[in-house]
Amino acid sequence: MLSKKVILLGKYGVGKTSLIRQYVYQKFSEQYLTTIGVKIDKKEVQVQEKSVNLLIWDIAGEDSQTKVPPTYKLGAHAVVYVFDLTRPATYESITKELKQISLELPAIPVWLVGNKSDLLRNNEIDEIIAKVSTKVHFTTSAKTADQVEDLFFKVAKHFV
Amino acid sequence: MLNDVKANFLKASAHFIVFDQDGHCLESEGQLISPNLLKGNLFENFSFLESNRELLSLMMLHDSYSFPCMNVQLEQSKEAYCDFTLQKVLWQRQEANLWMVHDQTEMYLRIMQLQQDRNEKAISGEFFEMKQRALNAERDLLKFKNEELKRQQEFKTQFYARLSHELRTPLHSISGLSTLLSEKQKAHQQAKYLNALQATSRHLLSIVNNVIDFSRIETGKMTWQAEPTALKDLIEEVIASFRYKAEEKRIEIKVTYAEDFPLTAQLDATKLKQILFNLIGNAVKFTDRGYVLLEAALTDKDQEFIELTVIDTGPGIAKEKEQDLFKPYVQLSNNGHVGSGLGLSIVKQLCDLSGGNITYIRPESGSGVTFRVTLPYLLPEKQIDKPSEELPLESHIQKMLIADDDEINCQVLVTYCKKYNIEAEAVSTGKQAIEKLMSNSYDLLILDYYMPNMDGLETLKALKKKELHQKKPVFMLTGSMSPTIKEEVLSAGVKKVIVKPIQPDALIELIRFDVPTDQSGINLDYLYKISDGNALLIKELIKKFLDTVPSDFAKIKQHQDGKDPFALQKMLHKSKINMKYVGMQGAFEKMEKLEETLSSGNVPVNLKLQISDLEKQVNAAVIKLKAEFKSL
Repeated sequence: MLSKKVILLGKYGVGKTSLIRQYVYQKFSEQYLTTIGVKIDKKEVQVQEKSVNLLIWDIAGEDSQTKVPPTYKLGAHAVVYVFDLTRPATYESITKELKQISLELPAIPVWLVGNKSDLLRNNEIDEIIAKVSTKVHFTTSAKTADQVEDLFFKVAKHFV
Repeated sequence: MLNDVKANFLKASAHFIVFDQDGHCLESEGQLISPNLLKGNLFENFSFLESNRELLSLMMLHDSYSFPCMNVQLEQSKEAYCDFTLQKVLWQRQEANLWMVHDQTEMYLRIMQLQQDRNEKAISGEFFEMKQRALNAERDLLKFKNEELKRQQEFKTQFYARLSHELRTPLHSISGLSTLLSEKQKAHQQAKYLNALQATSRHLLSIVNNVIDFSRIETGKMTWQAEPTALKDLIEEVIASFRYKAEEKRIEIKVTYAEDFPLTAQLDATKLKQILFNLIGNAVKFTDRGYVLLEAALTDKDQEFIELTVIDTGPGIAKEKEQDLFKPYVQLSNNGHVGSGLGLSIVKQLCDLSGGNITYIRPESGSGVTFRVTLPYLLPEKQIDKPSEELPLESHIQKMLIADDDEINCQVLVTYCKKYNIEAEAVSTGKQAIEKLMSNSYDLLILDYYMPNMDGLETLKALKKKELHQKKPVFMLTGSMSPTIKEEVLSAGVKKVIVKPIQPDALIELIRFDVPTDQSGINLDYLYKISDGNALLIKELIKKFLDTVPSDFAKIKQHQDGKDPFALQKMLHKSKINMKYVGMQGAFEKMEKLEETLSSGNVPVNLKLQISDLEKQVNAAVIKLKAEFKSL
């Protein structure tokens, strides 16, 4: 079975832990609990009759990617960069953040995800996506589970 | 002893595991990780190690990596925060992996608490800042709106002051000229006053129209409606209307056309006229010496737009006023010339409405004004044949009835129609109109919307109810430009809504373009079909119609008093088949119905009217068929 290390990055409070909790345990809590360090979760995904073991690293959100210990990113096979659709501060410097990631992890696929879509109307989401200088791959809601499964399936499918 | 203390202390908070490349535990020292978990494959038991399997295979001897603050469950349901270190070591002379686990839960929980507070505060701060930004933006917007309102209010106040002056001036002239005309004057003097009166009235009307147009544009009730338009004729017409004024000012007014400029095109003729009237009107008004030139061309690139450039040699526009050129209520008063301040703003909005634009081109010499308008157009599917003088109006409009309580308006229209050999009758109420239609046939009805007792719409409804409508075109006169009224009137079956005061010339134009010229109901397709395209046969059938039908109708008319219904029935029966040949299905059906009524010995009350109506159709058909006969 394939085992792939997927790391979730992004600023604090964007919902990285909630996305993983929803995806792995189908649970959601409104309460904000900050993550420190790293927590690793595991989920097996079936893609075209093949099993992929996703080892999902929930890395504590920081102001900047430079503050994340480099060893957390070592050997990563994919990056999911999450931002909060309702907080401009989480996507205003996204180009810089992604550039930093590509320097540390060259040739590693990065999925850009706007979370908390349940808090906005479709037209508002479209406006925000238009503001983000890079292509947003998914707009998810950890609360309603919208697009969460799709996101990780897409990541797993990449390895098959 | 101290070594023992140290060992015991480390045993409680640290664990050291040596394992091989396949994940089998070789040695373990510590109590943090349950011995059960150390049995079997460590890569399968610990996600951390599984994640780093590739990394471990690439590490060289003595390489070491630290992973601080790893959130793990060392024992069941006991969450811990540990610092991990992975190191490549020599174990019994073999390369092996060392995993050092240092439990720092207490410290990290304290850090987590601090981090939680810090993040919550930072997130609150972000939202506060966003709220502040939104409030600032809202405040700026309100400030801007307030300033804009103030500016508009100021302009409106000035505008109304100027507008009342603008309205009063021509009204005074009209009043004065009317007084002069009421006095005994020599004929040439009267003509001069009359001309001045007409010009002043037109000026007054244009000011009022501008104000109304502007309000319609502002409320978004105006749309661009493309229709087949005789483009060059329209331009010439506009130019012609300014020729007198230009001659009076001794300035030249000219127009040039690019070779590929289309004769006809699909665009909104009324609005194009408005645009040109405003631009050329301004140019003539402000130019006291030199010329006004209109250049008509197509845009260079794709030729999808017509390009109309109006150039004058007037005093030009002050630089500081250029930015306000197209703003409403802005006056570009030069040399004492004052307008409503809406003209250019209307032109701009009409251009925008069409999908085109208007630009101001600053003159190189410093004087004069150049405006360039581009408007989208489509070539019409068919060229428009403007009715020429050779096609007299009386061929389709011979008689019309006007119902309007404004006697002067009626008098003006009746007199004017006479010039074009149209017999026009006027009545002042809806009731009188109904009475007239009971005994007369008209080709066109003009009803006033507001009439005492019975208004235009009520009159029309009554006519339809009494079957006196005669399916003839109806124009409705109204003093209001309200789209609601227009919609109501058009949906009642009115052909055209005319806004008062109507210029007689404009009425004649409307009759030319809006009343179907062919009232005969001929369908030559039918003729061609039944003759299988045989020209000789077609000619023969047309000849038969021309030879027999007019004389038949002369005889039919002799029986229109209804005294001998059976003789009339026979005549109708004999003649009606000719109608069928030339596709006059309507006339055929009418004759058949009349024949049926007469065969039962009944005479319809409006027999004379029905025959007169049929005769008109026949006369129109004769004209058309003669032309067709010649062409064959």
